Amino acid sequence: MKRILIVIGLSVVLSAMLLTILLSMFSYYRYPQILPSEWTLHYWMYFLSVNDLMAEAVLNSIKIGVFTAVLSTTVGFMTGRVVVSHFKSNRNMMMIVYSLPLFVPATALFIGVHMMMIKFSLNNNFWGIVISHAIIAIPYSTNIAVSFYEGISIDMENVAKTLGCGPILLFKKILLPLLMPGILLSSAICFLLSFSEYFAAFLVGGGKLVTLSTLYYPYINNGDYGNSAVLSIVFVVVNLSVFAIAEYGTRKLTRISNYLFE
Amino acid sequence: MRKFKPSNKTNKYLLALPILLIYGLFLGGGLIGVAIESSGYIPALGLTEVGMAHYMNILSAPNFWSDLTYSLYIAFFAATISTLLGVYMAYRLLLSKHKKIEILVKKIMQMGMILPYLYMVFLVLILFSRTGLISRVMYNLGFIETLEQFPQLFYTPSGAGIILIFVMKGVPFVTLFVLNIMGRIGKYYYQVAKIHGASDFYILKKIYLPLSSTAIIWSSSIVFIYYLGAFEVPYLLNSNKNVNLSSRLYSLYIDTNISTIPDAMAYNMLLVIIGIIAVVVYSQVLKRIVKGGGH
Repeated sequence: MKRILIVIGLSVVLSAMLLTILLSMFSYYRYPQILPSEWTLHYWMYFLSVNDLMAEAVLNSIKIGVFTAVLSTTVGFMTGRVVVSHFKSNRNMMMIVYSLPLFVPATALFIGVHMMMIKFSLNNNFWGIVISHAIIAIPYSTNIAVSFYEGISIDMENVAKTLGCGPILLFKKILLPLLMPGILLSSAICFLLSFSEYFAAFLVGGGKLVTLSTLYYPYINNGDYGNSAVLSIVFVVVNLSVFAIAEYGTRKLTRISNYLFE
Repeated sequence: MRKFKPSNKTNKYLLALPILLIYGLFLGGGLIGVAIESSGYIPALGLTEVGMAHYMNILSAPNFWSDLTYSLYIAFFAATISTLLGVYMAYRLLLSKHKKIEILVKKIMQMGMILPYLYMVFLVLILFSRTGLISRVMYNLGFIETLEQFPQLFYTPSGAGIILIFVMKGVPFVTLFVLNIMGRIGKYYYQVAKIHGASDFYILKKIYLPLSSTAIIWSSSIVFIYYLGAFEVPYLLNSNKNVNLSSRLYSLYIDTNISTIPDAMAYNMLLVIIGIIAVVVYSQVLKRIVKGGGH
């Protein structure tokens, strides 16, 4: 019974993936055809060379993702340090505080954020989107940071300090190597969050700054299977590569038991 | 003997500064700005009359209450199904004896978690819509004679398609989150209880649910509030009749008529308040259910 369920689940997932690939290469898909026909490279050519906006959107998304990852991971690991070393007893309380953005309905949250972006002239702006994405990514990066800092014994720091280690050297030689898998993991998750996020990119980008998801949305809305399929594949390939790199990296770097990957 | 402190006070404030700045300016500032404008005070537009009138406008609108019920219905069902399936999956994975199946299922879960919502919409549409793959296969096998016989899951008042997508994204999230904690608890309790003749379900209810309650409540509440405030999936798949709160808010926000801005802001504040109340109630009820097993 369990086997059958897994087989059904797997075949649904695989057939959906396969159909996506076929839809990007075949143009004729009329009911009740099971598989599309009429082979064409039109959609891929359109993506690769005809419409410059597409390449620009992918590039924008990657850039925004990278900066979001750097910003939220940095802020997250700074916050995580404070939470672990200064709030021993009320950890759960702190968890709610740094996760506040996740508890405000996203649409309402981003309309407020959009208002502030207009005030700071960050609307229709690259950095505006990065900061908006960081707001929802920081809770995750902080959470990862906290679980990694918890795994580092204070004794290790104390030993280094008694041997005359200054704060910079302490961070470089003791903390950073131990935190490295966490930093990588957090960066990957923040990147993925940003890369897949639609509403903030759309609202704060204001249509002036195109990202992959804001470009993707109208194609899905219009039921344009061919172009949707191409952009889907781009999405999946980028996401899976980032995920694979993170998984490989964390496994290589892991010195303490970690958070999501096993 | 001198005690070593991890860091001093200035250090602490310095480290907390970035998060306070980002949250304070954009989250706090945004909400305060919205609250002010929702009272009707926008001098730039020549609106200076302060009051609760705009809240009244929203609350007395005929569709507000049906939108609210619809949004809560979708969020509640999607979150509950995700939680039930997610906790079950995590428990099964914990007890799994087949290493290969376990790894395979985990990989699928991770895939589900990292695929964007928009791609999920696309996948679900090409699979489960009336002209989707499953309908086509059933037609060719002779199970249905016209595509109208295939159930309509999208653009319907039942919101089945929306819930389906939310569940597909929510189950992996809850599973991985809870499994992380259950993995730390380990199998020993299970083995001991099993020797004493307890059933799998009883062990889950009495031991693993209470021990991983924080992770369950946490992940379930996050998906619940996410579904309540999500925009793109409901906006794409809503029926004409029922619209969820966030789609309605967005339509109000982008309205070209400037005089509706205070109404939109009041709507925004109401969504925040409703969200907070709903998630508090939801998590408290869940807490009672999950921890209740321990007594």
